[in-house]
Amino acid sequence: MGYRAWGIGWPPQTRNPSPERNMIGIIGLPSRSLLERFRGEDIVDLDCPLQGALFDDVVESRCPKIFCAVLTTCFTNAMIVKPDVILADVGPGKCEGARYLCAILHDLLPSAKIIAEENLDSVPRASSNCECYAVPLRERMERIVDKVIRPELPDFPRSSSSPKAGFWGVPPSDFAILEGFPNETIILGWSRCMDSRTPADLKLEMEAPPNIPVVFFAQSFCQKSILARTLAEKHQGLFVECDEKVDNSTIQKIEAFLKLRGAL
Amino acid sequence: MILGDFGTSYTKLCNNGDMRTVPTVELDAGVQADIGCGHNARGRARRIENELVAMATGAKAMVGRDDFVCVDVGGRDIKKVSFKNGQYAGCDWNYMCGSLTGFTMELLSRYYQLTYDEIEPSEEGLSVKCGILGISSLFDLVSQGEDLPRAVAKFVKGVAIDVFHFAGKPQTLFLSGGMCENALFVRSIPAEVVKLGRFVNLEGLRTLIE
Repeated sequence: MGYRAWGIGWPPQTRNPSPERNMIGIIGLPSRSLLERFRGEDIVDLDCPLQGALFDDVVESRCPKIFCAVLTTCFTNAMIVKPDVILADVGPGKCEGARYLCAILHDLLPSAKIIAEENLDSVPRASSNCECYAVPLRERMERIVDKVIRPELPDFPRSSSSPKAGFWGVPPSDFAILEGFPNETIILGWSRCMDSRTPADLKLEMEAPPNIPVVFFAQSFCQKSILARTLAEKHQGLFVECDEKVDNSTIQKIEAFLKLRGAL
Repeated sequence: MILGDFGTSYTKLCNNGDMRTVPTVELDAGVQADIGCGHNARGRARRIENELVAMATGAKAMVGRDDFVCVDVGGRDIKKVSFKNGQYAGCDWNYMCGSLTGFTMELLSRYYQLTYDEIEPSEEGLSVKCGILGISSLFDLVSQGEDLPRAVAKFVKGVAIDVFHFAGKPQTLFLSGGMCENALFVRSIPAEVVKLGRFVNLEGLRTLIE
């Protein structure tokens, strides 16, 4: 079984819905072989905010105020869920921040087995959720994230038409940022790498089609923001960053950009 | 046909070509626009247009150049649109950090009973990353014995430099919004400033419905 907080409705106070199975928490996108070893266990994606669980005293005392919202979420979720095992992608497929977080969790959760490995998988999946233009962008992004822990979920079929716009970046901390895009939006950047199961493929991550308006998104305080900003400059796109929750000005900026570039 | 730009501090209205500005707190409860934009447009306009789209459309109609940058300094935010070769090239909206600068300048002039037209611009600027932090620096300066108009001029210079950088340091900056009427602010911007006035968004709304 796989759990993502807002999709499955798993309340965090019930730490382990299936006591006979181990609770596995994942950070980033662990390698195929690592995930396969733990299929059949209860897997929870620690990158996604849990329902109602946004605060932990230990996280509050150790996490700087100015820090990546995704890693803060991973930290908070790990402290609340206290998984039996944590599988983390660290290094080129995720970030060094995940490596540091694993070192911290190793001390704070001594009973958890923490497997922190670099995911260097380089064979892409044949299917993709990035280019289905009949399904809203948010729904496709949720599918990409959900498929990591629930691989049985079907992919949305690739459309034969051309995209009108692009969204580049990681799955955002607040998926509301994806709602103003037209359905005909291609998913690019690390989300595309995540979808293809090749998270360390920097060449794929940096691809952006010419002649369509692309929003280059980065989580605030993430190292990928330099990539997002540079690519936005190169492709005449719009660079936006967002911390925990997307604000109205960012939503309006994206809407104006897409309207003025003819995508809406 | 009533067009409305419902800003935080001021509302700009166009009623069949008749333009007027009303402090938003004094706006009659019954005012309803056919098309509107701005932070307070919700519930005030039958059709709401994106504020940046209205600004870009209005600026393009008013400027008459292929390449330009237009910045609107509002009560609580700063917006930018740019055009290159006659085509839309980009936009930005500084809403959280750097906010409250226009509001703070108005607040300062009331608090100290100063008229900005009578103050000479400063060469040196305070760091005004947001209105609250900037005003703290200003108070520190005053408590250290700085002449009051000089201190305020440094605050305004700080805002002007931030706006100039936000605009991408253009040689010519097209300025819209209420700050066009603040002579000290306009003179503190280190660029040629072309004032478009308060009604750029209304011009945009008019162009959009036409």
